[in-house]
Amino acid sequence: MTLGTQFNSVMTAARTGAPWALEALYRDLQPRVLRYLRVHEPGVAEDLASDTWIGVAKGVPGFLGGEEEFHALVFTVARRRVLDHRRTEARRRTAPSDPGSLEGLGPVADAESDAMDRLGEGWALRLVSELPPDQADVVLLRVMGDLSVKDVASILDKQPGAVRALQHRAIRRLAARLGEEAVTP
Amino acid sequence: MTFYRDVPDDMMSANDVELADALLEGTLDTAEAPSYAGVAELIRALDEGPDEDLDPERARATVAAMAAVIDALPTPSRVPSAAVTTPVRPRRRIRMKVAGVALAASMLGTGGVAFAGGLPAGAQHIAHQLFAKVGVSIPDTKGGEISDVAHTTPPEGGKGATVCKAASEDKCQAGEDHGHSNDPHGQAGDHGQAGDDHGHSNDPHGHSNDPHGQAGDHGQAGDHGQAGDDHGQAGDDHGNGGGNGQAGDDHGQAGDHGQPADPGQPADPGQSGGDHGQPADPGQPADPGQSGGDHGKPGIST
Repeated sequence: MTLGTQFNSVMTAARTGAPWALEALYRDLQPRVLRYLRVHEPGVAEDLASDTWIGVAKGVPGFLGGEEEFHALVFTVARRRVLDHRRTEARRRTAPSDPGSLEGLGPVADAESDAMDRLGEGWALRLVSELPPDQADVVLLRVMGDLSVKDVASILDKQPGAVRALQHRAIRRLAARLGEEAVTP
Repeated sequence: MTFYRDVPDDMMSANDVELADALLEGTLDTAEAPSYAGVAELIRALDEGPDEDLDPERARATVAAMAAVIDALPTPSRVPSAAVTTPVRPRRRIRMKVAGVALAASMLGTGGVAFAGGLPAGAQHIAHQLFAKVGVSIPDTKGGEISDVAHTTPPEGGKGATVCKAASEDKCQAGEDHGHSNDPHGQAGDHGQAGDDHGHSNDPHGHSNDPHGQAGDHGQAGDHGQAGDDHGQAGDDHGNGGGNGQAGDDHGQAGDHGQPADPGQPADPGQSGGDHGQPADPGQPADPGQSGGDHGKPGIST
């Protein structure tokens, strides 16, 4: 998943806009970005991912740091795109219609469940998505972004201690939930 | 008693922190924490995920868009630092211009009104002080002037009188000596009658030297047509009337040369051209009521 020792040379070329370097960065992180976005906004994850990479491109020429810092940059932008999308959706006017009038239009796809099923690891994403938003964010950024507590705290604008508390609660909740599922016939 | 730390869901020891870190980083040995084996598997599933084939078309378009964005960005080394600053939008610039014009107009208007002395008293005084600092003189309020006098006058040496004069445009007589008479029969002093300004007789007593009681200088107001040195009250030391009972120099009563001394008779029963001069009358007051001053005493015949 990581570029490792190649990262510096790739980033140097990416700063000049070299397409091959940009593609290397994209292919390295895009699957994780997509999974992160699918947990939050399954229906528009692809579009949000594209927006995320364009936002990242604006920061690439001035980027200074290693691979972990670049991951933090990418997931910071991704999270902001999610928040922007939610704000836009909250402001968007909706015209309520009678659900009965939609019955004849055919089966309605569930984008979220489709996304989970398509990943094959849907059960894990489903359990994480059922966590409170802060806890889910911490788990996803720590695991998918491969970020440290400090980086996650910076992205979420929280203290590291608060992030540790959130991840602790998330793990206890996940353990309890898995225990429930284990005993459920 | 249950403390908040005893609530199971919120308990977090150092071991818990290490456990959570190890789980999320994928380094936990599940043999040591079998109850978390399920969570460890979930974390592994999240981390590895399926190797999903990326949409090549979308990947190409996204990378091209990224390259275009980077090409469009100015190279920091080629761009002067001033150009990197956020450009001011035209509408914002217009708004700034309008605000500047409005500010200048209001300052000019306020300054003009201040020069005309048309501001409210407090504002006018402040404007006076502000402009004075830059050497521009604009009218102050009366209160401001008095306040300045009060602030700049030292307490010793009649501060009250100075402030009083400033407040009354020199009409105030506070603190002044108004010529008390040393004579027990003298003129009123305190009330501004026998002051020099009002032409009272220089004869402090105004008594007639004439046994017949012609009034000499009877201490009436001079300028106001009463008996006085200047105005021809019977001024003869001997009590003789003047020539023809004419007025003195200006306005007077029976002058120095007229009437013979006539005890008990007025030098000139009538008014003789003076404004208010009364005839000398032995033993009579020159004219208590006619004195130019408010409270002049009549002369007393000796």
